[in-house]
Amino acid sequence: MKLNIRRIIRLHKTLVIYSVLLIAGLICLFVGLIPAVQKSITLVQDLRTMEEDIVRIQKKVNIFHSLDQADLEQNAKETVAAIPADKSVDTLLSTIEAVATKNNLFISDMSIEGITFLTTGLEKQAVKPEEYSLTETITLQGELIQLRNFLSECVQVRRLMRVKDIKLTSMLNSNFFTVKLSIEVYYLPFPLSIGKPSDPLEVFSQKELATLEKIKSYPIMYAFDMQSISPQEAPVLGDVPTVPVVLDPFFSPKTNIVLIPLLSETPEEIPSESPSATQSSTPEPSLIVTPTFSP
Amino acid sequence: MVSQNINLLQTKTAVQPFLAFVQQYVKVATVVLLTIVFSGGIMVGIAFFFFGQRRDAMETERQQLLAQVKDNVAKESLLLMIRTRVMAIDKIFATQVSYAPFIDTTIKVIQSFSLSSFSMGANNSVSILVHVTSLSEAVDVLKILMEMEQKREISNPILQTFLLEGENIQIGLSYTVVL
Repeated sequence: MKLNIRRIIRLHKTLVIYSVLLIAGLICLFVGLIPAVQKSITLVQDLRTMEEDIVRIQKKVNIFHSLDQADLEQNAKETVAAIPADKSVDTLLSTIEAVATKNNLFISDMSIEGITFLTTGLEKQAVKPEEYSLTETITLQGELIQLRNFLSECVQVRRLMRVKDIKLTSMLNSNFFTVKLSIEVYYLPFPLSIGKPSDPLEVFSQKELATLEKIKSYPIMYAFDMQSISPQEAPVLGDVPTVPVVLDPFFSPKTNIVLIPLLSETPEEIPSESPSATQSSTPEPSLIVTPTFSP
Repeated sequence: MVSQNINLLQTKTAVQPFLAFVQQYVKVATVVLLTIVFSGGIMVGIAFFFFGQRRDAMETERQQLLAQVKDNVAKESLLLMIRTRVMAIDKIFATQVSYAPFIDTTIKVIQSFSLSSFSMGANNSVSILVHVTSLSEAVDVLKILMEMEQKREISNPILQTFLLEGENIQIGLSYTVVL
């Protein structure tokens, strides 16, 4: 048998050598070259992706260089004054009372629904931003034109609110009216994370800048003593804070609830002297806040 | 060529014609394949070297840029926070309604007469209850309402109730304010 094989090899020596080389070449082709080519293609694709990444990150870095941190902090404060990070019941009450007092209206009743936990971080996170709201029911007394001015101004102050329902009735034998308003006020917790560093970033659009300017034009009708928004408080990459970034003022030992209307930006808009004609003819104003706690 | 070999027997066995035919093709295929494998291998090697170098350089650049991004994380956080708030503010602006124009329209409707109640309905509709002391005053109120409807300040004016009790007349009206 061996002799036969040797004889065949000897007889077809050239063919055998070329056949072995051909098989070796095929093995090299399929095991080495084709996977290497595939890897090269993947590498080229990776390079393209990386190039796009670099362009995107470079753009992001350029945006950072063009932004002034002080301006950003100021804008952040301006927007937080409109929509605080927590329920901020004190600013809500102060705003309502300031607008009412400015228009010589008497607050006869007030109640707030949807407070539950006073600190935002303790409750279940809302699914939609619109779910971050409180409903305040307020009863005001005054003349029709004063009520009209209140309705006009309450949607043009910082600490944004929306009048959901209104019911107005006249008081017997007088020019005064009682109006029961259902007002929705908003808050929005700070974002928990800012995503990946390579995520794209855009500068403020014209529409966003217009909104910022509009909100800045609205007066703040409460004692504006917000905590400074420092980089330490800002959400960090991928970090999820275990405590709320801004605690509810009721939990903060430094903050007092201010029920007397105070202005930080437009002090001339609130009359310093109270009581008004409305208030003098009615009993002493009393502010009744009835927080509704859910079980 | 003259053979120097005096052996009359053939030293090599003649290759079968079929195998000779196959051998020709195998030889060509082997040369072609080996050429492809070697040249391809060299090209892939060069490509690997070149792209590898480039990838390393780009990775270094990327890491440097990412470090700069991380240095500016405070700005990014503030930007994101402002943006989410601005979006929320836009949504609130879209749903905010000032009820002052509705009161203005009502003041126009009632003129100097006494308003007993006012309430808002759906789609800018308003229901009011006006108190007058005579039928002529009631007619005046209705006239004003019709004039305002003709001026397209209101639409769908409806006389809901009309209650006459001695000198007291209460008129229940509803209309839609055209904003």
